[in-house]
Amino acid sequence: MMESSENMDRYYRDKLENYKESPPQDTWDIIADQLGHRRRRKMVIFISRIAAGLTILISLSVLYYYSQKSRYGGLAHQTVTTEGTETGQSDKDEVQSIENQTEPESKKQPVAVISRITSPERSVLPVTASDQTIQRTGQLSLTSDDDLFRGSSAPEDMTSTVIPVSVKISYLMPVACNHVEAGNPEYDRRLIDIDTRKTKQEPEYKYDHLPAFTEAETAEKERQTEWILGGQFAPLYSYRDLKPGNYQDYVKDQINSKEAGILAYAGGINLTVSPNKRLSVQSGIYYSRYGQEKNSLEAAVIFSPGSKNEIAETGWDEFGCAEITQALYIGNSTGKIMAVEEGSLSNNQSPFSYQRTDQAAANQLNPALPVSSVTQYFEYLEVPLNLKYKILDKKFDISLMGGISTNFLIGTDILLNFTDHSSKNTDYTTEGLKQINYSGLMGIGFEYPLFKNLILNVEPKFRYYVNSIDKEKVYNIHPYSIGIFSGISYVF
Amino acid sequence: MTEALDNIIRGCQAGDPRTQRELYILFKDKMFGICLRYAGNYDDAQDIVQDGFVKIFMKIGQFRFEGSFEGWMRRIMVNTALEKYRMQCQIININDYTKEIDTVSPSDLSGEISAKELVQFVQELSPRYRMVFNLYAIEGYSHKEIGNMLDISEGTSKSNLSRARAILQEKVRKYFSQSAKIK
Repeated sequence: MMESSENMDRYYRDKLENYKESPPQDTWDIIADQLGHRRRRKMVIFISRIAAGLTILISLSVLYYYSQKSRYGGLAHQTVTTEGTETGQSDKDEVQSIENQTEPESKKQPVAVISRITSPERSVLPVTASDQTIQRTGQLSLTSDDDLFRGSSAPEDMTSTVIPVSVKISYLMPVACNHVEAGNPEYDRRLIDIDTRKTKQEPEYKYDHLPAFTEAETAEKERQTEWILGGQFAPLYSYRDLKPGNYQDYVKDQINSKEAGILAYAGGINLTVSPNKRLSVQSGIYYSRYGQEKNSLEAAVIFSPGSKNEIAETGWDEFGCAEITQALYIGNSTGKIMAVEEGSLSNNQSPFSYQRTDQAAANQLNPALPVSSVTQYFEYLEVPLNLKYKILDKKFDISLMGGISTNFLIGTDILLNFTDHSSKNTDYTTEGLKQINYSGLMGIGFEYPLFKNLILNVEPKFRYYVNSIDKEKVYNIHPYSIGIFSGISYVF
Repeated sequence: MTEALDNIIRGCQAGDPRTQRELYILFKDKMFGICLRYAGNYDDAQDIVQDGFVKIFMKIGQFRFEGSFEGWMRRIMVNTALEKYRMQCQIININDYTKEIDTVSPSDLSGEISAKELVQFVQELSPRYRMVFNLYAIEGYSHKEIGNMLDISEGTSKSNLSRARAILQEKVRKYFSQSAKIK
């Protein structure tokens, strides 16, 4: 009986001791949740999206604000400037200088008409504006102001004065405001001289004293809403930032010691809208090729392939597969490099086993020529939205810029570098990368006009991916690049 | 393989998520097989394997590369199953089999019954019988150790084992008799 029981126990032990069965698919996800992997990942994604959304919103708001300002703000801008500079210190010289500047233009093409004043009661130049009105609304209200003619009698045969306000009135402001604020009789007399007596005798001369009525200002206003189309190209230094994650510094150091940045490039076209002379908004489409180099192949693995999906997912095979295909997985920080039937695998390796190899063994994967390193490229189409602000607005312009970009992964590329310093493009792919990513940008721009509408620009830029590009987010990888973008822009 | 496993363990000790996942992939089936034997059903087994792996990753820093790593993992899984058993073991009505059941010789089984079916039979045991049978027959613990683990006397452990065997034999007998009818 006892022996029989022991035999029975042995039978069960033999049968059940190594019994295997796959747990449900979601088991790892739950474990990862409990270990905190996925919570952090979801939180980072959430914060990234919020940040990207806010940046876009702020950018659009600024664009809208300045576009509105360019439509209505010209007058306000001029008015405020005038008040600030002239209040309390106006004198003849300034007025005179305005006259001198505008005289030639006004003679060529008068663009506004001050008609004759007809009513004795309103026989003054009716162009003044109260300070409050100007400050509150930034627009002018036209009223007659008899004070303008203090000390002088109004001519009886003057016709009414009508000034189209739309554009030209702003430069009248210094005259009117100075009169109101300073109350200087001498100034008043001068205004009368300018605006009434000469109007009566020689109406055409009054344009001499209205510098707003010149082409110069019109040209200035048109320049403020210019559109600029350009193209750029840049050599880049590209690498990635391995941020702290759920792993110790030991892992981070180990990975960093085996990977390195590479030289890459980017280029594209951009369209810039400049609502005023300082601020501009830029968008466009760029092709960027980032990457990194894997200097060590110690994590190469030979897989049995029938479990290809499992390989792609985990990097480990499940054994016992019927299909004979081999795959090479080169462990690295970003995505997963998959190589299938590239002839880089030795036929001596059994397809039904896996093994991690050291560097020497990995090199033997290709008996003909050992691989010394692998260069990994990521190709993105990037749609940036940048703000530029000119800090120096001369012939040679300097701008500060910042913005965000939505980046679409369009491909990956793997280059094998052999020990004889030759390289070979492969059909290898990097799996497990996110298709849509977001990056931030900051830089400084230098512009120099080659011709009237053609501008040479050079823009050192630093670009940084704000989200981890690894779909599984095994490591917290953020590519970045430093490049000097240069190109030509055409101003419409 | 040993070197590769050591690298994985070191990666897990460093908290590397990728190697944690690799370790899970390597051992998930074996560990789930253990959990199925100790659990009353599939869902409970999943709970145990989840909790067990979390414990493994939390405690893997304590592993000193002395002895079998797989054995170390198994112990954690079994302990996790025991914890779950203790939580569920508030009032368990264990049917008392007094009737002596004829034993079935292992040679009679002749391997026709699959391991999956045997696991199912074990799962159908009452919780304590199941625990005692697993710990004694499969894991090789003594009745004294089992008594300490389950907070029962040595004699109770022996008794439970005996009854568990009897129940399993009965189940096997029924299985074969039904198979014979079908044939």
